[in-house]
Formats: sequence, C-alpha cells, structure tokens
Amino acid sequence: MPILGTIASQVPANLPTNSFYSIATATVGSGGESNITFSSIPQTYKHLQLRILSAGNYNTSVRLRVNADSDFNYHYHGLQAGNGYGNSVYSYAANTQNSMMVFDQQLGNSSYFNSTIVDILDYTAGNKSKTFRTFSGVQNNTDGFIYRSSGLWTGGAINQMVFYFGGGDFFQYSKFALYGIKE
Amino acid sequence: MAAGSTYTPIATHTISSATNSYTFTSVPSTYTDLSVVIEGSLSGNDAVYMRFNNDSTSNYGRTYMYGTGSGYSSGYISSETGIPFSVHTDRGNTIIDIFSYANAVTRKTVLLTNNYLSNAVVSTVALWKTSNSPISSISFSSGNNFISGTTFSLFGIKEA
Repeated sequence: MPILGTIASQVPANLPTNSFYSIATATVGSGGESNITFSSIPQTYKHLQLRILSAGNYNTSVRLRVNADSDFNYHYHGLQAGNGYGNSVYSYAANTQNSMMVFDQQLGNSSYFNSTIVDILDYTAGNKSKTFRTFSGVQNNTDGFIYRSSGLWTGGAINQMVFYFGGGDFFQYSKFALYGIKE
Repeated sequence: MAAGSTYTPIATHTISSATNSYTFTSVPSTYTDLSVVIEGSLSGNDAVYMRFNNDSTSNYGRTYMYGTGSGYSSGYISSETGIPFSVHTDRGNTIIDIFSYANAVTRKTVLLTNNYLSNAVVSTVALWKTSNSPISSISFSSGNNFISGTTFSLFGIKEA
C-alpha cells in the first residue's frame, strides 16, 4: 500500500521568488480572434516566456512576426510526432521565411487545446539574433501531436509580437500569456 | 502592461526515507498554470505514474517522442490509468507543466520533459481526458521506491 506524502508547510528560503513576472495576457472571447498582438513590450527583462493555450478552426501552423517584420528574416527547425506519423519522428527545417512557424496547431476544439511554451532568450539585445525555443502538444480522445522547435529572427530588440494562422480564428478560451524573466 | 512577480513556490518535499509515492494535496486554485519539478532516482528503473484528484481509472492519454542517442521513436496511447514517465536509478529530472489547471471549462493538458542519462530524453503531451474538473491534488506513484534525497517541487504561475 503506497504511503502518501504530505504538502510541505513552508516555502524554502533558497527558491527564487522575484525573477519571473507576468506581463500581459490575451484571452479570446466568444467571437474568436484572427491574431494576437503584444505591443510595447517592456525592455526591462532578460528573457521572455509565452504560455499558450490555443485551438482554432484549422489544423495549421501558428506563425509569428516580430516588430512588424515581414521580410525574410526568420529561420526554424523542428521535430514532431503523432497524428499521422505512426512511430516516426519527423524533422524539418525552413530558412529565410517571412514569418516564424511557432507551433503546429492540431486536433484542437472547444474541449481540447494545444498547450505551448515559447522561450525567447535575450530579447532586448541589439547585437545578436533572437532565439526562440518551443515545446507544444495536443491530445484528444483519438490522437495526439507533439512538437519541439528552435527558431531564429535576425532583428534587434523585440518590442512587438503578432501571432496568427492563415485564414483562421483562435477559438474562445484560447489564451496567450506573456512573462518576463529577470536575471 | 501589468507586471506581477509569479512562478511562486507552493510546496517542496525531499524524500527522507524510501517510499514509492508522494502527493501534493489541497493545491490552491489561485494560479493559472502549475509546474512540477522532480529531481532524483528510484531504487529500480521503473515508470512513475502521475494522477489527478485520485483518479486512477483509464482517463488519461498521451503522445510522446524520444531519443536515446542511438535511436528515436514516438507513440500514442489512447487510454491508460495515469500519465507515466520513466525514472531510473541514476539521478535525473522531470519537468511537468499543467495548463489552466483550475478552470472547469477545458480538459487538462500536460507537457512533460523527462531526462535520464541512462535512458532517454522524452517529450510528452498528455491529457486528463474525461474531466473538466479543476485539479486539486497531484499524486506520483511507482512500483519501486524513490531514493532518499529525491525532491518534488510544485510552483504556481499566475497570468497578468
């Protein structure tokens, strides 16, 4: 018979409590949304993290443009499995794109949402390209899809991000939450 | 834009004597997402099962992919009695993110990364698939014991 543990009663003194900050959250209402915009992103953090819960009316990639840049400054590589791939892991690469594929939104509906974490490192640095790291997945009663990628944008400090997917809307209760991480 | 400090430690527990389970109980409903970090090992290579609200029926499903350094694979499990991940006798870690755990509208989705040098790097998406209930407890159990010094840490992340 398992012996149950119990919740600890005190917060450990050595765990940091003031380096991860919620900045803004965009939640989709009953009418749906075709894109999600974060503008005037404060430049006071070291890294950014997005935590996303999303579903839409198409199975397709969710894409990102940074600082309204629609030039061919985006590059990304990814691994994905599930939904149609059997026991395989599919890898792909895309260079010199005019937007970044952040994750592949699949299988979701009003009950099953894609969950995604995007880490953007050193987003205020003006002297280096920006690295994006994504972990995403969705599971429903009959199938699942999982996705990992890294991306690169060859621009300067990030002050705006727009997420969208072609011709579709994000469903109600989809949510994009932006966090800042201080060093 | 509002800015509030978050990623708040809710609880942490260090195993002091061998046991094959641990449960976070009375998880507060005041956050948006939860993150669990488990660092340590088992007395024998085994699966650890994560379950929500004491539900041990076939209400979980997952899709996973992994690489061992000499190979890779993926899989889909439509129905099982918990969300499993491997823990080995060497020290490693598992990071679990649970999204919108306190809402009563959507099924609960989990992203899990499991890293053991003797095993593989595994990425998993899992679903507590037949319930929209808010999560109030999270249990971990295995057929082998967690080694003394293994830690379970629970964090709450609150959106703006």
